[in-house]
Amino acid sequence: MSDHQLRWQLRQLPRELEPRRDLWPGIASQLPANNSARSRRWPWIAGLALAASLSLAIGLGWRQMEPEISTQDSLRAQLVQREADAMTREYRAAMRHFSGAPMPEPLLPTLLSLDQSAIDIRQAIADDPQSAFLLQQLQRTYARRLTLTQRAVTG
Amino acid sequence: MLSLAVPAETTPAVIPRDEDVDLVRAAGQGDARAFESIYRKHLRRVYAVVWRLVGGHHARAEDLVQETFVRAWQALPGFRFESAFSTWLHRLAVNTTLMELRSRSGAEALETDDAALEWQATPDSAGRIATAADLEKIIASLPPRARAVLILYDIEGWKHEEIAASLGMAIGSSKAQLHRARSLMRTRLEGESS
Repeated sequence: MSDHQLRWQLRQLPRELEPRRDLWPGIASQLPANNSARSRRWPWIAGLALAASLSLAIGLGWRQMEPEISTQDSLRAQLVQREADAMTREYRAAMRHFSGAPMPEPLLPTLLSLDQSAIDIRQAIADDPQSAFLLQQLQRTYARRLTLTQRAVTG
Repeated sequence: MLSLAVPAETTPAVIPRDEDVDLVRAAGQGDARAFESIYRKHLRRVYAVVWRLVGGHHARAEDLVQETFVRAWQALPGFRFESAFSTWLHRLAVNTTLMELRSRSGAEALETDDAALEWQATPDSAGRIATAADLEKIIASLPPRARAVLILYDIEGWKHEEIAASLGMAIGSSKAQLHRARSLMRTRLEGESS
């Protein structure tokens, strides 16, 4: 029997099969919890993305004006730092929803690494407070940490 | 490495309107009744591929299908209609199942539930009759990775590149597993018919 003939036979197998029981009740029982998690999670991530976008836009605008207005450096630094602080507060508030939830052991190294990255980025922002890029990196790191945590908690 | 992430789609920017779009949007906004309609519509297709991948084990297939739909519910708010919803859901089911297969790492039992097999006859090249039940039984008896490649390539029509990415193997390994699976299929089909 050639490959073509075997494949032809396999292609004749039914593409749809009926399970022995209705699986919907088991699925439905898990949906409300997920729905409430969804309403907590997405606005927060969207908020972070918006904050980072705004910060980036502000940063780019300033970069264009830099040759003319060098005195605004300190103001820009203050705003970036303020954004980083606000982002961190929002992140911590979101993480409090998951406080006490056990994390799968295989995930711990990644979570710890993300936590350390966030610390490093915040330190880098303190050292170079005009960097909108670092602000964006911080947003990505927090979003990634929150997504992994949420996924681990809700399965 | 296996990935549960929905694979990057290579479909063009302009695609036909997905007939599921309204239901998917509603479900993505938390409408459980819309999601149940999606489930009813796609269940049998999803179940078939999962059932084959796990070697014909109904209980495992049922658990994995439930897990697939729960994951789909969680991921729906992020679905952007860059591919057909049915394709997305199908790949989610396959990836969820492959992850489970990998976690078992060879501890898989290989018995088949014969009661579930339909006796649909299809002629083979030598004029013998290879029934659907024969084929399903032999597919279920294949080693898990070879079985997965055979199902995804020969039955589901995936490309080796896609299979290799989902199974975390080289493209050449996917081709080698397919060759191995087909050889085993032929040998065992001859054994069934003799």
